[in-house]
Order: sequence, then structure tokens, then C-alpha cells
Amino acid sequence: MKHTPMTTNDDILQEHLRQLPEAPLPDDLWLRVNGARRRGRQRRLAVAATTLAVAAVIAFSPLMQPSAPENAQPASTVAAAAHAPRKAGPDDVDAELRALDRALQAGYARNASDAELEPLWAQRRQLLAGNNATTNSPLPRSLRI
Amino acid sequence: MSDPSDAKDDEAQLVRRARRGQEAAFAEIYRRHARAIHSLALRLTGNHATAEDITQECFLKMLQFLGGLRDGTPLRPWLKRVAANAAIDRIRRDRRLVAIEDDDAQPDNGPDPLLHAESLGLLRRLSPTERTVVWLHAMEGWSHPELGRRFGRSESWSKSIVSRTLARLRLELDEAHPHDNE
Repeated sequence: MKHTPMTTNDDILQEHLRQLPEAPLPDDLWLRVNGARRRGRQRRLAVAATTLAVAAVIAFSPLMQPSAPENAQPASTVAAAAHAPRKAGPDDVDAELRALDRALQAGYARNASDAELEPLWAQRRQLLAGNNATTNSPLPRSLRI
Repeated sequence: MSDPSDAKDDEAQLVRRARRGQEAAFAEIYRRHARAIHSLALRLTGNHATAEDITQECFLKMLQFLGGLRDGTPLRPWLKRVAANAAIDRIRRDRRLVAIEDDDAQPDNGPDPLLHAESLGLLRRLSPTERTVVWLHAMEGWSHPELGRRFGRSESWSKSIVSRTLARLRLELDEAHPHDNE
């Protein structure tokens, strides 16, 4: 931008303004400014430390979760497997029951919700009812939890 | 004679050291620039307490905002810019709070910060807005569009303030020094 040149009067005025002495700096202002700097630095360090601590907790939290049994499968997998077409012999039923029981145990171990576990229980009831109607096995199939 | 680029490098190093928390470096920067920054803030706001607040704010911002101050950036103009912006923000805020016209605004009633200026018959009875606009334009090189934008006004508003205020100051100058123009 092109500035309009100042007139002679303005030059004189500007010179007067330029010659005005700088105001004295209050002696205690340094203490105040430096104190604020120190407090700010301490605050930033505290925030950084807290952030790091929170990040560490988040990063390591999976290691702190109760671990599910090694063979445990997600409830949905087990339920899906139970619906799959099959020939239900006594051995198959026992295997399915054991799988369902493991899935239920794993679900309870990780505090799964009732809604999530209910299909497993329904599956288990259905399996027991159907098997009791078709098998002659003398052994009762009790809950194995 | 020392090379100006050496001084700039030296200052860049000081800023880096200050940001790392070295108090001695911060103290040296303060020693070099605080008086000029405080003086500018006082001239713009006309208030001792506000000038001290602005000075503190400038030096703390210098440590905090890496983006606004890169290596090699001259420190004094940057600090002055921060101080001027802080002063304008306060003037705008105060104007909204008290809702007084610029022409009627007066400096605070505390110890007169412009005593030396008043001894020359200059800057007397100027409102904070007039004083700030004129000073930034005439002494710090701010353009009218820049001033208008920063105050949330137009370029012509800035021109009008400067023109009117300079006329008043010239009149006072003529009365105080009647032979200067001859």
C-alpha cells in the first residue's frame, strides 16, 4: 500500500513523538513475569506428566483385562455353530454342550451382559431338550459351569 | 562493530534456550526488550496496570507459541505486534463494557502515564482509541487498512481518526512551539 507522505508539520509532530522518553520499567515487573513463567512451566510439565500417565494406562489396559480361557470362542460363534446343520449323535451333543459351557464361562469371566449370554443359554436349553427326547443315554447332562 | 546477523543468531539461541526453561536466557531477553514493550503498552493503553499485564502476556506468549515466532524472526517487532494487539483487544473490550464514545474517553485516573508526553502538550486528552491508532500509524508503521481491520472498523474510520487526532496534536504543538514551523 502506498502511504501518503506526511507534511512538514507531521514530520515535526512525528519527531516530537519519537523523542518522547520511554516510561521507566517497574522494578518488580521482572519478578512477576518470571514467576508467571515458572508457574506456567510447572503447569505444562504437570499436564505432560498426567498425559503420559493416562497414555500408559490406556496402552497397557488390555494386559490388565481378565483373560478368557484359551479355547473360549465368542458367544456368537458358538451360537452360530449350534444352528449349523448336523447329525446330532450323543458325542456331538456332548461336544456342543462343552463348547457352550466354555463360552458361557468365558462370557461370565469377562462380565458379558445378560443379553449377550442369553442366546447361549437358550441354545443350551434347546440342545438338552432335543437330546433328552432322542437319546437313550442314562447319564444326565447337568450344567457344567 | 558487531554483525547484526550475529545478534539475530544470538537472539534465536536465547529464545530456544528460554523455551527449554533456562531462566538466564529468559532474563536476558527481558532485559533487552521489556522496557520498549512496556513503554509501548503504556502509551497505547494509558494505564500502568494494563501495561504491566500486557508486558507479561507478551513474554509468556513468546515462550508458548512456536508458530508465531520462528528462528530468525526479529524479536522486538514481534513482541511489539503482540503488545499492540493485546492493547487493541483491551480497548475494544472496554469500549463495549462502558459504551462511551471515543471522543469522550479519557485515560484512567491513576498516576499519569503520559506525564512526559503531556509536558510537551502532546497526546493530552486523547482517548485510548485515538492514542493507539495514531501511535501505531505514525510511529509503528501500521497501515490504515490494517488498523481498520484490527479494530473491526473500516479503513476510512482509521484515516478519519488519524486525520482528526493529528490536527489536534498539531494545534497543540503549534501552541507549545510556535516557531518550529518557521
